[in-house]
Amino acid sequence: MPKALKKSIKIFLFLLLTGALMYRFFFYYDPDNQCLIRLKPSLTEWSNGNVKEGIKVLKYAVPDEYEKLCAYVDKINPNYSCGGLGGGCYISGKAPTREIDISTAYDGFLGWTAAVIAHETCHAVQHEEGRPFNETECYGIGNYVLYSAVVY
Amino acid sequence: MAGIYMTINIVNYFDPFGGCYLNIDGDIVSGNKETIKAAIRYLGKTDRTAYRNLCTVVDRVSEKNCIIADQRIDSKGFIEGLNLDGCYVKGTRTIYLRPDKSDSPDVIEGRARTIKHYTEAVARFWEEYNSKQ
Repeated sequence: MPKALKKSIKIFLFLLLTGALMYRFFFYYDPDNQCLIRLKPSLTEWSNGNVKEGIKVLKYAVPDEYEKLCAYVDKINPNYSCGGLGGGCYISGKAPTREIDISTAYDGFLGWTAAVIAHETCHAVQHEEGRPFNETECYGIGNYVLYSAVVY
Repeated sequence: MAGIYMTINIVNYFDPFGGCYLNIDGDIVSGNKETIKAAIRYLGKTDRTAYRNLCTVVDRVSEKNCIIADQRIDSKGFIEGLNLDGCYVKGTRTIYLRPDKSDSPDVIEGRARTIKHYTEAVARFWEEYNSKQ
């Protein structure tokens, strides 16, 4: 095989692998539901796996909250934020980029991760609908997610 | 090969002859990862059907307290969740077990029962979900 072709194949495989890893760690994509969410890098979250699984809990167990997430959120920041470790945060200044902060641990209880995602999405919905920031409503949403998703 | 098998089994559960690989997340502070593996092996010896079901439908067994309610809304439910032997979160293939440091035979057998119970919950969820598609 000519050297140039070997080199081209190696470069192609490298780019393919890089693309696959970028998708795996930094994107959630569900084409059937037209849902694309970018996940920022985080040393504490490692691979964003917990956040992606939390999103899937909403998809399979609480579809109405999943619909809201896909409609109102474009980006998730998994780094430590105003909600502290294990919590989340919505900053209205980030509204133009449709971003929420989810600081749950990389190995956190997935029901809780899903509940926090739904809670912060609730704040994003309040902001876009021009309604006041209301924690009671959003705590209720998070609780509803736990009631719906956890089997015991 | 023996080295690979032993290395994998330090971290997770691997039974190559039974076609079984499970991620095991232990609680370093309040738990005991080895009793989870012992419970799975116990299930393999005492209930082969449940063991095969476990290996098919479950990816991960995690030692973590269950959260079934938000403490700020339902504090009673929150406490109830912490006392559960285990639980399952729909949409995943993960079973949760309450952390327990003890390595007594009773704990291992109890964990095996909990694992079997929630394996059935996992299978039921995905069967129902797939039948609706």
